[in-house]
Amino acid sequence: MTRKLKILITDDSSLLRKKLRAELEELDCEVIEAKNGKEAVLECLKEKPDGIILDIVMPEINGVEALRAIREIRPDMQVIMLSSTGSSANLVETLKLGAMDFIQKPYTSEQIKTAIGRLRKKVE
Amino acid sequence: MLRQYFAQSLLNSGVLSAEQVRLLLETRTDHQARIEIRALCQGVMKAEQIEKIKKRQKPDEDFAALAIAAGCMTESQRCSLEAMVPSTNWNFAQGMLDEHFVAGYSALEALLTDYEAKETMAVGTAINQVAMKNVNFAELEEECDLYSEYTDVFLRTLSRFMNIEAVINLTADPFIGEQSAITISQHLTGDIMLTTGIMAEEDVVLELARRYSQENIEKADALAVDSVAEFLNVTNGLYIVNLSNRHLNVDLDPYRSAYNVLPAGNKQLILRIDTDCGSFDLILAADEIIF
Repeated sequence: MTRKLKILITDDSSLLRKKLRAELEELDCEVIEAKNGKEAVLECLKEKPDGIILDIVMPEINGVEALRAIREIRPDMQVIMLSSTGSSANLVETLKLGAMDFIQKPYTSEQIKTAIGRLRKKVE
Repeated sequence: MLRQYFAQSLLNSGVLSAEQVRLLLETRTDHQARIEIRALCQGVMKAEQIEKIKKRQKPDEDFAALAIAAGCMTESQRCSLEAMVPSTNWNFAQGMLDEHFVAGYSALEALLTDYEAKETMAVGTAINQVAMKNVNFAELEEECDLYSEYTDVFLRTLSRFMNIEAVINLTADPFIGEQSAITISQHLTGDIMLTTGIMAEEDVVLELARRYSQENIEKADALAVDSVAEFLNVTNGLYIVNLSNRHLNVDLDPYRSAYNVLPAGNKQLILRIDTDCGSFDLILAADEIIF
């Protein structure tokens, strides 16, 4: 029996957090939420999730800056970028910072399922 | 084959009025495309053949059976046409006939042929017409191509993610000054500078939010605004992908929203978008519109 993965969703859109929470709970994940990069870093310290699904375009601290800060405190953290902005500069930067996947919004359930499957393999 | 901008093209050329287009958009589900329209739109039959058969068709006779007997259609084509899910544009064409907005199949065929030649220009033509009417066109001339390109993506995502067919109204005055309007904007920055915004009354925001989120949202609250903002965000993301294919690097800022603002961007163009779930304004400008 596989253990529950604890996943931190970070997105400023309450709609996306709601939808993604439902998808992840279907995949037997425990879900915590943050609505910007600053909260994500704090939740990483406090909740120690197995992985993060991280948006890029967010107020306060954006996803790229948050990922940089998270790498300082959790170098091994598995991060899936989920963003509307798939510009080459963002892609290169997040891959350099060790993001394991980049999903362009709008996502499909299949993309989330595949990414979580890969994340599970990495953490187990 | 009818594509995205048939209604816009008819509006641009004055074949239909804004009121007629709005009526057809609102009643599109009432006008289910019959096999005659499907055959015409798919190029299976010519208008002349359809009209000949219609003339001798008795009330209890099946059109397709007569067309097959006359050698105008095969049984396989009939099955294929009947199996197709009718596109909204087929229903739009059916509505034009049902409402007598077009004289008959030959007139419709002529409009379709004309549209084939004009399809790629439909959005640009509409934007130029609105710009000439509402603003100093000379000030916006350089932006019109950019605004047309963006609006094309915007209208396609409306159709793709919300099943909304929309047209740019060429004659309406913008909402500016209306009470209880919600404005949601997002700025694109980098190799191009563009701010995009949606301004709508609460009931339209609510309907757009319901359609995009597929959630039963009951009022135009934060979740509703957030849903429309997420739609704008996704649209802008797809537009950025198009730009990056041309080696233009552009990023997005977080969205902003406000009630009852007077959008005041530089090089601003406001387009009234008519849809089957109400009208709203699409605002395009070179810089931020919410202050």
